[in-house]
Amino acid sequence: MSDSKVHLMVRYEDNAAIADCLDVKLNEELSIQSWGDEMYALLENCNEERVIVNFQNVKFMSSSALRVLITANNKAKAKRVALFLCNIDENILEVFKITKLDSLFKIRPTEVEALHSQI
Amino acid sequence: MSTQFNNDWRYTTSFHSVPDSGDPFVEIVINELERRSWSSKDLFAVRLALEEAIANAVEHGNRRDPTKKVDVSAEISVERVLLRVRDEGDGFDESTIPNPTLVENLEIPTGRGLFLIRNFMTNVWRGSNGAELFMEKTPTPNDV
Repeated sequence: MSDSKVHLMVRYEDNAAIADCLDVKLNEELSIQSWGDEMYALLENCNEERVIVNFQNVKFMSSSALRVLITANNKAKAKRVALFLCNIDENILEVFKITKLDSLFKIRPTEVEALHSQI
Repeated sequence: MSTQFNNDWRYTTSFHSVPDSGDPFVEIVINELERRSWSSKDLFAVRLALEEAIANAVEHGNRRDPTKKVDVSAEISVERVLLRVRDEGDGFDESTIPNPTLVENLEIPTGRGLFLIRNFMTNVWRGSNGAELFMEKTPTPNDV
């Protein structure tokens, strides 16, 4: 089950797909399922060498959202797409650090840095 | 049910084990802490811990059985917030939960809820039957 809202807005630039997260909070179960479905579809249909997920709007994230991101990262690796995360709020970044997921993901402070980082 | 006396505040309620049914309780607690000028960092920590605890109670404790309920309560004073989440399950053995920060576990999507609770709250302990979780947080110094 998922909701009917759009959770990702995707743009294309310099051989990258840039997905803006539209939610302020990634915590409601149905929203996270939809957000995950959109992310998985993006990766599945992706012909770009990198996908950048921009978290500029997101101020809260539960472990359910981490679950989606880890699954997305696994899918990206299988498809040989470089998955970058950027513009992560400092409180959320602390979650990545405490769980050591900052060592799993390619996290960059800004979209420009994610766009120009070496793959 | 809400009780307010002196500077202390207490709230207790229960809800069925369906997705997101605990959200109103979370918002009530966060609003009360905001009213007391808790920092955004501490509000984030309390929201995270409470949402993870409720999600665990619904998913693991009550196994998403909508006929089973989750009991929750919050007590807020000048010194701290104390949260309690209780489900109708049999409890669990915490030693069986893998450490999610080990390299071999990083790519496993699940199993971080309790770990986050323990890291973002000041004190965490379980009730005698194991299906009840207590979480306490004191405000970060100089933030209130």
